[in-house]
Amino acid sequence: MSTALLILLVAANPIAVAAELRGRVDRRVLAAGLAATALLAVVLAAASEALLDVLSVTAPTFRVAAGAVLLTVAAKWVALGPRRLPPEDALLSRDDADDGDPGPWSGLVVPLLIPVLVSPQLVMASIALGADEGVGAVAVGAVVALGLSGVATLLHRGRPALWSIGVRFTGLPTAALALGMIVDGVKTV
Amino acid sequence: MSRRRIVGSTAVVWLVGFGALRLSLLAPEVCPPLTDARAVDSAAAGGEWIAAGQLRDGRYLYEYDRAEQAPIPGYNIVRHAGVTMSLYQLADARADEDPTAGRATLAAADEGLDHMLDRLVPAGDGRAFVERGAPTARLGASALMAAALEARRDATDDPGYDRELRALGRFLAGQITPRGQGLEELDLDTDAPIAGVTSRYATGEAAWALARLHTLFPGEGWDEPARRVATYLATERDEAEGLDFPPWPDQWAAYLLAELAPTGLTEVQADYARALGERFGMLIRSESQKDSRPHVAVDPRARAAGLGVWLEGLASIRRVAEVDDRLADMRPALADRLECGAGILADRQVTDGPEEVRGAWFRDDITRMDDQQHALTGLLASVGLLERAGT
Repeated sequence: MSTALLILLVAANPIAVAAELRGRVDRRVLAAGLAATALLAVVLAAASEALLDVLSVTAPTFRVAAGAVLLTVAAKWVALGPRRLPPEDALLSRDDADDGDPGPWSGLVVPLLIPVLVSPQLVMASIALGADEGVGAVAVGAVVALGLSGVATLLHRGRPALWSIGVRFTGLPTAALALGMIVDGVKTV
Repeated sequence: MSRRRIVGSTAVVWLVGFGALRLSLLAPEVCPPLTDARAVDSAAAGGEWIAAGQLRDGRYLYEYDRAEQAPIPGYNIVRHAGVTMSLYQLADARADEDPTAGRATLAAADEGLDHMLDRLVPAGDGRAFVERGAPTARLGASALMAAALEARRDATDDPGYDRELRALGRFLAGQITPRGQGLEELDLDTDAPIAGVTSRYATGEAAWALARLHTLFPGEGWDEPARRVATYLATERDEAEGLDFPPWPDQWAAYLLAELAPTGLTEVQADYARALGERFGMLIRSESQKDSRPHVAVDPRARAAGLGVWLEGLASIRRVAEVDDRLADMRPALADRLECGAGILADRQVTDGPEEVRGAWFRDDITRMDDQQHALTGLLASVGLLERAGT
């Protein structure tokens, strides 16, 4: 359970979520996005064995791949910090702009779910942990990790440079856990 | 950047990333199905390749180039002993189902044995299998000759060569240092082991042969040096031999642990058995992905000797796990990986063509006799037909 929690925590990375959203999201939209992402993580965990069968790989092999994805993201966080999303008005297409104010829910899918919350590392970790530790562990881990992401987003009050430094620091434990996943996957029979 | 462009660029990143993973770490693991009967048939075909290429003096066809349709010169007496051992194992496995084929295999093995018996010379406290004119007796050749005689005893229950077997055992035991390291050579002029000359293979080979001697002749003290070596292999060998990324996948060590396990392993030996099982399993898992990856980006397929060795090692660790509950959690995965590896091995065998080709395993159009040795032994081990050796 603790492994799943730690891995989902670094995969979701509440500090990176907060740093990328910069508090520009409505609370209701944020809650809906977090709930949808947690649900997706649980569904992926529940379907993990079927997904591995479809891919014709075993759980240790998938764990290595998930670790590699997490390691890549960790390196990106350390080197580049958080992703810089365009300003809200730049997200509007010409049609959206012609329709006037699109409202807060227009940000649910983009940028909240894609690309911030539903990330490759979260998807891979949910499947890998679902196969290794079961749906329950993923459900608890996802609720805690995404809950903390919500709290961090609400706490964001400017000072983007500090949050950026925080994201870079989170890359280090993320890299350590990713390496642990890779080594564990390689070592497993 | 509009939402559509964000979604589009995200989709591109996901697709490219998934594609890269699918061609590398996440390549499909392909495990051709294999029945026990087909595994034995495959092993038998490998044995028939060895027997068909046997020379009048008991040696075997050493290496063959399929493209040139010609043998490649050379010989190695350690591999001769190993091949002879595998033929005895095959003869034992076929004795019940196909007695005629079993006798033919036994006859080929006995010819190979005669070649070795003609080359037994006094060495240390016992006797050693030595190439004519060689200045030293080498540990590995005698260890595998002892293993061949032990396999012959399993196949025939004939005690006719027990005197030679014990003499080989005394030579092997005399080469083991107090720390458990096997000295690879004995100077035949001075009749003394040569200090400092070691081999990554021979220590485990010798200890396994000694452990098998203990199984055959309990109460004669053969287990003491074998257990000493088991601890050395578990704790020191990889570093002493400069082997990176331990544990080195040593099937002889795995055989040794399987032989000792029924009478108990120490904690470090059990940990070593687990680590070996993990390594062999990873190697087979990786091999099962190779055909799914772009060939320019990966190592070529393992030789049959390599894949067979991994199966031998994995099957030995399965035997450990069957009697040692500290490894009980590994049992299902070990069984899965063995089945997968055996399927890959049988699938790669050449099943038709002239007798120099049929029943063999080739890589880059070359096969060597130990490809067939390790492949057939690995296949028999994977279906549990070598279990008798440890009981």
